[in-house]
Amino acid sequence: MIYNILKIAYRNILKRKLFSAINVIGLAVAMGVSLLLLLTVFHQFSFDNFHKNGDRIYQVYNVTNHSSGIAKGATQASPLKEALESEMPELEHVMRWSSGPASIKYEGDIIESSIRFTDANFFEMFSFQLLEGTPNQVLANLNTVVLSEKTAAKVFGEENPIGKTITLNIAGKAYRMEVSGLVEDEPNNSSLHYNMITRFENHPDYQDNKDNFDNQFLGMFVQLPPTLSQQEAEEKLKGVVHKYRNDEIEQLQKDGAQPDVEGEVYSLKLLPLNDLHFDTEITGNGISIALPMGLLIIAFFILVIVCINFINLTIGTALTRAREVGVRKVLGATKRQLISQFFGEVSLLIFVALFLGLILAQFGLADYNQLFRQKISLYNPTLIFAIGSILVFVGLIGGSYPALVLSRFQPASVLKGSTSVQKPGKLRNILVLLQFTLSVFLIICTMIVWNQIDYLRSKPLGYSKEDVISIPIGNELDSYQVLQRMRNELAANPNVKSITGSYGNLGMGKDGSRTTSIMGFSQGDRLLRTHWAVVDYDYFETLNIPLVEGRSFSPEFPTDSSESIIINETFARQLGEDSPIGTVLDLGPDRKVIGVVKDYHFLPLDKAMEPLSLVLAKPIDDFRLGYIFVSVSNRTAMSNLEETWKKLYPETIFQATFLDENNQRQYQVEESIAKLFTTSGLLAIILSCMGLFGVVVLVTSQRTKEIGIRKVLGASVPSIVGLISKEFILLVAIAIVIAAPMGWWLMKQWLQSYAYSIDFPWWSIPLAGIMAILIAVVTLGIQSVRAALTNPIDALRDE
Amino acid sequence: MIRIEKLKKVYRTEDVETTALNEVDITINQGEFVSIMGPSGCGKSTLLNILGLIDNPSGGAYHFLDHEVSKYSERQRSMLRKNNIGFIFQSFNLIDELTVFENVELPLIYTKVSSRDRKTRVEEVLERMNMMHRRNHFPQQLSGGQQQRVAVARAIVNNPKIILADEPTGNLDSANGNDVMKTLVHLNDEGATIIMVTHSQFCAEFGNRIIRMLDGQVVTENLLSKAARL
Repeated sequence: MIYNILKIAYRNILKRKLFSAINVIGLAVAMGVSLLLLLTVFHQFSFDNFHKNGDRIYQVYNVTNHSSGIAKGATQASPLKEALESEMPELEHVMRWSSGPASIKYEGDIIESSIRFTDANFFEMFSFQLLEGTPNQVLANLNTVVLSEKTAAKVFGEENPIGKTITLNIAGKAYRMEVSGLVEDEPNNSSLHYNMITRFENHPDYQDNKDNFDNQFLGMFVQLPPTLSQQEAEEKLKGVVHKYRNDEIEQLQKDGAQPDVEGEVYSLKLLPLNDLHFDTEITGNGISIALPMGLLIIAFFILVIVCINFINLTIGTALTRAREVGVRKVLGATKRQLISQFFGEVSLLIFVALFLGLILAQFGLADYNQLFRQKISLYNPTLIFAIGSILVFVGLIGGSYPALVLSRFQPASVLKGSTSVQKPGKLRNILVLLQFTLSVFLIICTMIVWNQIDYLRSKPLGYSKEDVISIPIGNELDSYQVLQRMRNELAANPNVKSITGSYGNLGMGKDGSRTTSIMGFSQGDRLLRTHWAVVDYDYFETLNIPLVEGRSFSPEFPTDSSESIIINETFARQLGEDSPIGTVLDLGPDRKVIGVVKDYHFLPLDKAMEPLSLVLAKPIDDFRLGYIFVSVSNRTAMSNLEETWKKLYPETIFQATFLDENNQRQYQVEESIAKLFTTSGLLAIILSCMGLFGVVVLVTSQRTKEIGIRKVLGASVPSIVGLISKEFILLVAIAIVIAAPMGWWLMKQWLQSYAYSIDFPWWSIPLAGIMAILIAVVTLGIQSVRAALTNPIDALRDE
Repeated sequence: MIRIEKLKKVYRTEDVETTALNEVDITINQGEFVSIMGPSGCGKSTLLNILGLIDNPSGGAYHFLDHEVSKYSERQRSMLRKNNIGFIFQSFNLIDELTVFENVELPLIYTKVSSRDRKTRVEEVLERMNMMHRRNHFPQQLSGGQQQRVAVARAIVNNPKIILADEPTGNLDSANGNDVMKTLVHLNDEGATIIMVTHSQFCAEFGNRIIRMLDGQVVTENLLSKAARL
């Protein structure tokens, strides 16, 4: 029986080459694409799920009800650990987590890297696999470090690193440390990353802040006992806050903070480890859950579209197989046998398509991974789930329905040649409508995403980005000396206009880093918050940021580095003074405002303008300069800089970028989304058109006699083309009407997530509509013209 | 073997009601060869479809092998049909995607005959129809006469008690038509009951009874002598 089914299926597939090709190619592409999308979705939802006690691990975050609104943050103060341990002894673990740049020196080689500072219980809490060392011992001593496999390979090559001593340069200080453990590189679905791990006590800010609740600079994780729920733990945290942070609470109340429903103005809450990856609000490191959900929806759309083709074409061709069904029924086939027969055929097509889809997915994997900056592979256990979900979906929707419809044919009527077999016109039209609605919707989304990205890239940011080069200094060099030597070397270069230095970069550099630092302080009876930037002389001149009032930092005023501050317009407005120049800010040591600069976008454009304070860097501070900015007269000056850099520091890498590249790099996520929308929109419209083409071929073959009679009676070619196309054009038009408000609503929401966005481009809707209609007309035209040109007698001879 | 009483079939569309069969009474005994004649639209094919259990009557009684089948479900009819009835159609109704052998084999697959038995029986019947040399051809590669011979082979491969033929010679030239009729007579001689619908008086006379219909009713029944058949 199965052999029989497969044999017939095979012959039928060969017989209807056009429809089989549309079905197989469409299904294969859709399956390949949705396979990749589903793998990403599964990957995204698998983040941090590999820790044995993951369901009991939480990150501690704070919620502050400022008078201006609620602020949530994940950074905590170091002594909170001891406070939690003494107030909540039932906690199984409390652990601090922070990071910083570090360079490794071993046998004369220097390697730039980064280091994680944490507590001795790290490996007991998290299930990262230690290859050497035991979880409770490996960080027992202060002067030890655990290396990741990757880092160990970089430093030691094949050598066994255990017991070896390396010199780490952390924030300008050298530490000699013994390698006490080797840990597997973190899985690619981990939110926590590491190259080297050492004890928290080695953190450069630890000594000064170990008892200071005001300096919040680290992340904190706790592991609850099985008997304590998140809610109960948060209830207990209230007590800790009131005991240790009462001064903060009083200050907030004085500033007019509004208590929340529980009557608190400042509270500590717990964020489950499994939610960390999708947290965009508290830690800001996660990705929006909208991304995997969007991918899921797109996979669903594509599969729906291709299933619709499948249903339409299978049912359509089934009409021509009505006689076969009739004969089979007359010969004794039961409904079940017929369903198995057609399901068998459908299954064969689906499996062929799946196989091709897998090959396509393998081919597209590299580009796809690059698009999402991920490393998923097809050889992964979730593949089975992904394939399973797709097969169930396509099989159930695309396979069962045609099988059921076909097996329902009445033998007497089909054998009589009666047309009482219902043509599924209404259903087919609804399905075509649905396809085009999804396609038009995706086209609208695509246009708007690209417009917004274009806007983000090209919006003036308030500083020169086209002709300023940013050079990362690295951790090993003396940053002030580097700046001075570059100034000296480039002084005579006609291409170089001006040079400065800064602690943080602008935009996102090649090293993937983006720096902001926020400081809160009391000014009179008010609590103010400002972003903080440490810069060198000529900063505003190099970046071409205009001063609105006052003056810039100048070597003529030696006290600038310790007593002066320059603020942006937003901060000036917040201070509320008529002229802020001369205002003294209570920043620990007092600083006097000497200038106000015009607002410039130091944050990406999804954030609104915020207060910014700039202070002058001084070599004796702990603050190093991270970057040198060079303003050049033309873009070829990059090679001059590279030559100079290599001459001065041949042993280090030159990773300079223009600031406009840094700016664009900030919108990589948006660009990925845009590319995804473009690809899926294109795919959706191609698949829909393939389906439409198939449907029109069927319709014209079903209406051959009608077309013949009309032509005999004098119908012209255009009138026949109109006759066939009219119905479908109307469907596409209705699709536009349905898709437009959907696209408008969704994209309006998306644009609102940006502080700076385009106005909704109304032209995108008619444009999407015109595109859809044009594509449909071309698709319909090919077949309907062919049908209309047929010699009428050819159409009537059959009868 | 077959007894129908006051059998009715009414086709309804939105506003037209057409009576195809109007209180027809017929009895057919085992071993008979009955020809049903009448002008187009008289209801003869409808009658044949109901007799062949591929259509339901709107009223009246139908006794088939002592079962009252007029109210049978599709499933029950299918069971009776595949074990007892063979069909021959004017347009042959062979499945284009199947070879001659596979077309003839189909009824045996549906009655779950083992594959070895199927092979023997199909070969036997193809041999008998002189179609063995064409066993691997597809229907489109055969002449009309050959296609009808395959259809006959398919109709008899299950040894049905009754063979229903709807204009079996309608698409054939006279020589091929004659061949088919002779085959039917031969099958009848071997004991098969045959009911045939035809327009042709010549073909009808191969049977031993002619039923004439008009406007959904039986108007005359004539018994033919054995001599007239050959």
